Amino acid sequence: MKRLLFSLIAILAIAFAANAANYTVDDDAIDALIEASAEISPLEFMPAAAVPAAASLTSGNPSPVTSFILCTFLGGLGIHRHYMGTRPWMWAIYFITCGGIFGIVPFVDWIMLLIGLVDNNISPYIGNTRFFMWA
Amino acid sequence: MGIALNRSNLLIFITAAALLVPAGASAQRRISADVEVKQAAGGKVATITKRVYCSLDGRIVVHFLKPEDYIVTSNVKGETRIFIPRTNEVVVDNTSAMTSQDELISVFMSGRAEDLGLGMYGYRLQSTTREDGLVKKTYVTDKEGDVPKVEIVYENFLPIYCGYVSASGKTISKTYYSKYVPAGRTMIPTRTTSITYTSQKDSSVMRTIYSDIRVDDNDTYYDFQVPAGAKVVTSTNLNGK
Repeated sequence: MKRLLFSLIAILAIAFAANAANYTVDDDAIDALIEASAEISPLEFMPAAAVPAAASLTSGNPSPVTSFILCTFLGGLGIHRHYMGTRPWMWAIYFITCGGIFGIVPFVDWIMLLIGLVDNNISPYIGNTRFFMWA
Repeated sequence: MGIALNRSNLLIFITAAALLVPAGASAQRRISADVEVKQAAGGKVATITKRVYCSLDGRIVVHFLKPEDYIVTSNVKGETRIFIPRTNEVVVDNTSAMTSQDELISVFMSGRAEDLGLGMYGYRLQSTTREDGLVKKTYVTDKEGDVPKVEIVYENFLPIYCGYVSASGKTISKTYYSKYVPAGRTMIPTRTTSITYTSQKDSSVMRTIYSDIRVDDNDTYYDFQVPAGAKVVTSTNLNGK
């Protein structure tokens, strides 16, 4: 809990510092944030507070809320894609394209999942094996 | 004396040319580096480590070491192969979407640092301005679904910042490039930090550190070929998970 609180404060501080300085970021603050965070496997990386249970990952019934939250936090890693079901190496594609073509792909994923969340329908993206899941 | 001097000079010239020309011709045809990526959010951090091998002809080999041992090869045509040593399987994909030409080292090595490779995705330069001694270029696209505006800021001709701006004018993601080092004739940032703002209060941070950068080394991974006996897996026989 302390780690989570520290991380939240650190992220806010970094976000503020980054905004204030415009084009530079405080490397020491970034390093401190990462040092203070608990190390886990990328494939297990999901916000514990947001995901009710790890078992939901294998339930075969991905929820729009969880998909959206995973994309929000971990879009660059493509974790939301694995949650919804995709090719086993999709995370590698997100990585070799610098977080999905410099973050553009997870950003569009995020918009599509937001629409899916509003409509309570993410079925087009479940088990989707394409890199551009919306295409 | 004059002839002897000329012969001497000629000999020196030929020797120098023999030594320098082949070196120049083959200079910086390959760059490799260790890459450590850490993404932090919600008090947790995930690490991915890989070694990247970029060749001037556009071929890229990425050897993922953590969390799993994968070897990804790709070329400029978008032909991608992902070899999974654990299962001796290879995933073959020829869609250009999967090309790894976005790999940062490749972007800098191939002279695409000017727009950080945005041109490949249809972005065009809209404006160039100066701010406190820095140069700021704004790239835009009309392509539906893409982030409409990207701002890149340069210091001494090197990108130090890249911000994605939403249609509402809000910067949704910022990437900072720092600690540049020379790699052959190219300057490469050895540290990048990406902050993605997901709401007013939340953001995720991705730090990437490049180390052990080698230019024109002879690592065999540059020419890595998937073993002939590897089982080919295609999208038609993947069960989706």
